[in-house]
Amino acid sequence: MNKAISRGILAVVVVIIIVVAAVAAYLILNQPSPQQQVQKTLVIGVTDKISDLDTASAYDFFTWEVLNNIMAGLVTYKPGTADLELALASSYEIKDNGTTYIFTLKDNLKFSDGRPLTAQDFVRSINRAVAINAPEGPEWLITSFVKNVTAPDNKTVVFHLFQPVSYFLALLATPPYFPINPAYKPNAVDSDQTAGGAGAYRITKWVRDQELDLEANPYFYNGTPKVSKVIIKFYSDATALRAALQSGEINIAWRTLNPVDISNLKSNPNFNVIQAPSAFIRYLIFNTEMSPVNNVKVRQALAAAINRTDIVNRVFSGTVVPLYSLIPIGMWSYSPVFKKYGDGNLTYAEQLLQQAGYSSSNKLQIDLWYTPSHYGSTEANLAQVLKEQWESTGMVSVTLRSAEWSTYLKQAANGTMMISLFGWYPDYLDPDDYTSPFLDASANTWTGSHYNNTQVNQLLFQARGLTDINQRTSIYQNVQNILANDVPFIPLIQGQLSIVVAKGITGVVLGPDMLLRYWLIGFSS
Amino acid sequence: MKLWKYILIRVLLVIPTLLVLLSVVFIVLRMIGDPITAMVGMKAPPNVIASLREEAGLNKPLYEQYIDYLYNLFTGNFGTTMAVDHRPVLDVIMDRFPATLELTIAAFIVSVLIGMLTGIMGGWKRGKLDASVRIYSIVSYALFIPWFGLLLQLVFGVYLRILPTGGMADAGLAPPRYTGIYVLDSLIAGNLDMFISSLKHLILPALTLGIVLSGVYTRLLRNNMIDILGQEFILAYRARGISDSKILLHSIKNAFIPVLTMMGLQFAILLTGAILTETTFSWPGLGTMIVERIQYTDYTAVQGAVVFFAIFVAIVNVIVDIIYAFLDPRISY
Repeated sequence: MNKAISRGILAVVVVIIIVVAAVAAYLILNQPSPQQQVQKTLVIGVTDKISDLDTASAYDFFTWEVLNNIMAGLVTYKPGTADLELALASSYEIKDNGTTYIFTLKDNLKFSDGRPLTAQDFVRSINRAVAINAPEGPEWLITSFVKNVTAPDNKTVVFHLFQPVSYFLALLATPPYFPINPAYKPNAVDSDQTAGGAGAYRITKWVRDQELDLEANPYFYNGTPKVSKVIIKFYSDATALRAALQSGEINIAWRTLNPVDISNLKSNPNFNVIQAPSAFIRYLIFNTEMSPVNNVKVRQALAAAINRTDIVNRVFSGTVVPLYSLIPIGMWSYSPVFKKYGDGNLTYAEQLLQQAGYSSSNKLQIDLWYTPSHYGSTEANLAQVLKEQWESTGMVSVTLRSAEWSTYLKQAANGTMMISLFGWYPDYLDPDDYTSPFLDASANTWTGSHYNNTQVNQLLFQARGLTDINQRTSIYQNVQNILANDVPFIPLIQGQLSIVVAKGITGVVLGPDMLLRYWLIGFSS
Repeated sequence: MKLWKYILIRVLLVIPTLLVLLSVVFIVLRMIGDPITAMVGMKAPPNVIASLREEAGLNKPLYEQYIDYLYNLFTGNFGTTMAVDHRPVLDVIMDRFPATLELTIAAFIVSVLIGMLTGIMGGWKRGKLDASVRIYSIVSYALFIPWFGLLLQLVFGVYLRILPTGGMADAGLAPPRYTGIYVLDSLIAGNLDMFISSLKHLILPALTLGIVLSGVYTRLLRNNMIDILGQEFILAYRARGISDSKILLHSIKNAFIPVLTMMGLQFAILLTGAILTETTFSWPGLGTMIVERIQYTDYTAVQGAVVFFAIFVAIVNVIVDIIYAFLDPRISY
């Protein structure tokens, strides 16, 4: 080919490349910044995932938060509190010694697509969850308590219970009891169904593990949300979440930043770090049939040697609080019963160990188990700090052992772990959910603790049937005292909810139910 | 041997390769603990656990599980995810694979372009430039993807705020799904905002992975260039007065053929690197899917994804080998 022509072609190609690159660079750099774009919409970043948009099978906290924003139930928690208030119901009465609950619905209720919501929708939705009986689902929250549910007319929902349940209203605030849109498959789990219910928002787009787009539900029973559009963006880890917050791509970094990120962001003037106690607790389980921890003096000594403040600061960078009972701080009947041992009370710990026959020359040999990833990256550190605290008595030698979550659960159920670290998120906000699963011998086999105290079993059974909160409080405080004497479990810390919001975001309210209510959040002018 | 025989043998050799890999995956995944108790947690009654184990085929003897596993895979049945969504594994994979493909293609282009440019410059110019190129090839290959990605996120996302730090598109600007490749889908949708958003989100992850893997091409091409330029036919070209540009072109053509083989091998590394890159940039591809499903101990999904990767890499390598056989007439097969 002629040299001049080929050089000419080359020159034209180079010019075209330069022009295209310049235009692309201009367009890219001049597009509205992410921060400018998100002003129109609330964008929340999370590392959590939505498992299932179906109330019949969803059983994890973040999914329940989303369901609470796209659906509603008969009752709900007042934002920021553990107090229940009426939601879709306008009134209720209790009859037949607490075994019958009759709810009257508010007028003109509608699903988010505009179709009427009646009492029959409650019956349909609840019976559907029971019939589907998803294997790892939450339907037990219905079947363990409700004999049947009926709708004598369009506005009345009647529950007949097997026996009186003092926390039944708290159960009604959970998603299995929410009415769902008839678009859900009637006989099978409908994981990606976006029809929702009667909540503050409705779903406009759902791309699993990437993005959930919500818009305000025009038929919401409780007014208009402050922000008409909410987008949940899913991030793979806390580092990516933090980067997105600092680059302005999101307005709010929610579940879950690393403790060190939260501490750092507190001093950043562009963000507000909002913290509140949550109902998530961490604790130790003792196998009370395994030597040497079958000796109550040993368990008491180990309880005395633990320094919770040290754990809070060294392991969690101050993002959690010390806990002195299985019932969390802020919940009625909470009593800090483990304070009687003190924190890092080595003198008392050594006395108890000597009473149990141990000394510096005859050390107590124990195994402490932990699971490295399920509770986050801090778990190995927590185990190490506990080891140091116990060994600082000079009379204890701790061997750390670990197992991945699947094996860990199996070993717990088989009762093969001497001492193990675990955590607990509540199913419902009632002291029963923090006592019965651990201390009631008929319910605690999963822990591997083999704890069986007849008096405690009877007290817990009694408390479940009472409706008088003062009587129940008295019983749970008695149970907590017994817990602190027997020490089959040692409470360690209680989680703190930490949410980081960009300056200008208002209305973020955190409560013990650990659910963010998107409809309360807005932008300051 | 004729070309068609070579191609046939090459394709058939994929089968024993996959058999070995699938067997390793089968064994390893059963060593990590019981997935059923991990999924249903502490409160599930024993009869529920037993029922799930039966559903998953985990109640069968190991040899029966293995036979079922191989038969299902070879008939295209990757099973159903055992955690969260209970969907066909292949559906879940195909939901996420286009994102990985988008990232690996972009990273591949970046790595080849940078590798070629630097390798050719180093091999042609020599001297100080060559020394810099050699240092670049080592440093780039030694970079740790999450660290390098985080650095780019900090500089361009957090401090300069000109590029996003993660995801495939800005909130609300994900294009409608035609192929699952956002850049392509936004073009099909004819939406410029979506296209630019998709492109912006692709830049940092593609650069991260591409730069890290470019070092191999740099080194290989540079060495090949030096080798070619030292050969007698080049000397003959110069003696005949042929221009430097033509000599350069001939050298590149000859030096590039071994690089083509390397591309096939690098593709496997690209996919591995994509796992780290996707996690760093919250890129919702197969890499993040595998990490998520490992955390769920959803072994059918993990198993399916690993098998899918293996099949994909095997196919890519077969294609590369066939192209190589076409391109290089000196190859005897």
